[in-house]
Amino acid sequence: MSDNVIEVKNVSKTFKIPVERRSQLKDYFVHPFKKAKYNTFVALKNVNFTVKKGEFLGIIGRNGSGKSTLLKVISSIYLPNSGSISVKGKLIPFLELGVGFNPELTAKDNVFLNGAILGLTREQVRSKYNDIIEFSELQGFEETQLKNFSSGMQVRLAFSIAIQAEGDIYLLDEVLAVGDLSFQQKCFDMFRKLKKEGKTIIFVSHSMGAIEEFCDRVILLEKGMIKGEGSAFNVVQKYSELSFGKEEISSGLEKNFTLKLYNSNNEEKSIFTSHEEVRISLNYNLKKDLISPNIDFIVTREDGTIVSSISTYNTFDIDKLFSKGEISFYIKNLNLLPSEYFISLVVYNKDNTEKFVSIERIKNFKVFSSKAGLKGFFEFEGEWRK
Amino acid sequence: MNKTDKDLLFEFVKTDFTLRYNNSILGFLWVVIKPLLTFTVMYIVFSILLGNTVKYYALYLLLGTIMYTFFQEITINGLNSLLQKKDMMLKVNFKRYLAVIGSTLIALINLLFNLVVIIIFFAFNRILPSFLDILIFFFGIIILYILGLAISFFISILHVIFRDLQHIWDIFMLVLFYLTPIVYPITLIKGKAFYLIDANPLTHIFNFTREALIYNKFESVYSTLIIFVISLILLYISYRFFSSKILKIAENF
Repeated sequence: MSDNVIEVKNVSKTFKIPVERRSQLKDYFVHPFKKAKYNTFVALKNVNFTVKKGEFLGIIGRNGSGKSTLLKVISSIYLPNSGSISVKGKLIPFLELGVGFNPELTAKDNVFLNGAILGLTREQVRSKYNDIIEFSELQGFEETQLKNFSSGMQVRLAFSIAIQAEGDIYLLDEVLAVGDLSFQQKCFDMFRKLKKEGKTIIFVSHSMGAIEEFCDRVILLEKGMIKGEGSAFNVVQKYSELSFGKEEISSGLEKNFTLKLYNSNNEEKSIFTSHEEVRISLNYNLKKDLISPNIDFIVTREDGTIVSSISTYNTFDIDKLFSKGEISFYIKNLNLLPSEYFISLVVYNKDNTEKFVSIERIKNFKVFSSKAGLKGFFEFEGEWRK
Repeated sequence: MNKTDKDLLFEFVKTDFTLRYNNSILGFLWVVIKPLLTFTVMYIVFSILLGNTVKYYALYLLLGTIMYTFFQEITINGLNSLLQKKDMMLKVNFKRYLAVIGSTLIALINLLFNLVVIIIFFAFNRILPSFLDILIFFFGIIILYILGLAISFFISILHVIFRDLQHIWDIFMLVLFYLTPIVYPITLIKGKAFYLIDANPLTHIFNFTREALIYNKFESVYSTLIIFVISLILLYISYRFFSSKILKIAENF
C-alpha cells in the first residue's frame, strides 16, 4: 500500500459549450430537427499526479488553465470524461467561503447550515458554536439576519466556521486569500495550523509568495496540461517564464541569478512584519566573469510604482563576479507598510553603458503589520509631541 | 444515510421552514389560508352547480383540496430543488438526493398544519372517523408522498436541462386538478371522460382515503394497493435515473 491519499490518473475533462443556448423545451418544439452545435473546450488533458499524506501541494497556472476545474473534479463536483480519481479520507473543498449562506437567516442559523454543509454534525456545531462566534467577533449579532451584515462580517463568520471543519484533505482555492491583510494573515495562520496537524492540502493560488512559503511541491498547469512539477522555487520560476515570456534582451544570464530574502534568524522568508531586519541575498552561478558590475534592486508595488531602490553604484565596489557566490544587502529596518512588494534585479557595467542582465520581479514578498489603517508605502520615523 | 447526511437534511428542511414561517407574520397562516381560499371559492361555485348531490360536500372538497395541494407542493418543490441549490452544488459535494428529499419534506410539514383545519371541519360536522379510517388516510398520504418523490427525482433533473419545465408543470398540475375528482364526485362522470379520470392514479388514492375518512366505506382498495406498489417501483426507477444523471448535471447550471 502506498501512502498516496489522492491519485489522479489520466484525467481529462472537456466542456461542451453550446453555440446557441438550448435550455428550453420550447426550442425543441420550434426547431425540432436542428442539431445543436457545440464548441468543445478542453479544460484538463491527461492530468496525472499523486498527493501523499501530509503533503502541501500547490497548483499554479494562468486564468483558465484548469486549476479550478481540477479542484472540482477532485471533489467530484464535475465528472471527468476519462481517467480516474481516488481519494482516501474525508475531503473538504473550500472553493468558496460561506457556501449556502442565506441572507434571510440569522447568523446562528447560518452557522448550523454552513456547518452541516461542511460535514459537521449538529452536536459538533453546537459544541463549537461559542468558539465560532467568539472568533468571528460577532457576539451580540447572533440573532441578526445575515443580510444586515457587512460583507466583512459575513466573511469573518464564514471563515470562523471553515476553520472548525474536520477533514483529512483540504482543497483550498485562492478565493480564501482575498480580503484585507489582517484577514489574509488569519488565513495563513490557518494554513500553518493545518500543515502542523499533518493534514493533506491542495492549494490553488496566484500569490507566488504564499505558494513558496507553504508548498512542499508545486504543479504548474497550462492549457489543462501539467507543464511542470517539483519544488516551489523551480516551478514558480518556470511559471514566470511562461507568463512574462522570455526577456526581450535576454543575455542568457537570467538563470544564473537567484534572489532570496532572509529574516534576522537567517530563515528564508517571503512574508515579513514591518520593521523587521531583512537580508536580500543575490546568489550567482556564472561561467564567465562580470568585471566591475553594479547591482540594483528595485522594489515596486503590484501596479509597478517604484517604492525604493538599492544600488551598488558609487557606494559599493565589486571587482568582479565569478563562479558561485553570494552578495547581500542588509536592511536594518524594513520600514514598509503592509502590502505585497516585488523586487526587480538589474546588473550592469561600471559606467552604466551596458546591461548584463535585467530580471523583472525576480522575487516578491509581503509585509504585514500589527498597525492597521496607515496609507502609503512607508512609515515615517519620528514621534508626536505636544 | 449517516449522521452527517441526516443533519444536513435537517438543516435544509429547517432553512425552508424558517424562511417560510419566521420571516413573515402571516407565513404560518398562508399555508392554511391558501388551500382554504381555494376551497371557499370552489365550494361557492360548485355547490351551486352540483346542488346537493354529494353528502358532506364541504368535507369532501376540503379533503381533496388539501391532499391535492400536498401533492402539488411536493412536485413543485422537487422540480426546483436542484436549481435552487445550484450555487451550493458547484462548491460542495454533499449527497445530491438530500436536496430533493429536503425540499419535498416541507410539503409534509405544511400538510400537518392543514390537518388542524381538517380536524376542525370534521368536528364541526360531528364526524368521528374510526382508527382504521385514520390509518387509511395516512396510508394514502404515504402513497402520495412516494409518488410525488418519484416524480420529483425525474423532474428535478429535467428542470436543470429544460428551464421552461416550470411553466409546463404549472399547467399540467392545473389540468390534473380537474382530472381528479376533487370538486365533483366520480359518479357524475360518464362516457369517455370516465376512462381518462379513472386512469389517473390520484383518483383512486383520493377515493380510497376520502371514502374511508368521511363515509367509513372502503373503496378502490385493490387499485390503491396496486398504485402503491407501482409508486415504489417508480421511486426505484426514478432514483436510479437521478443517480445516473446527477453526476453530470453540474455542467448544466
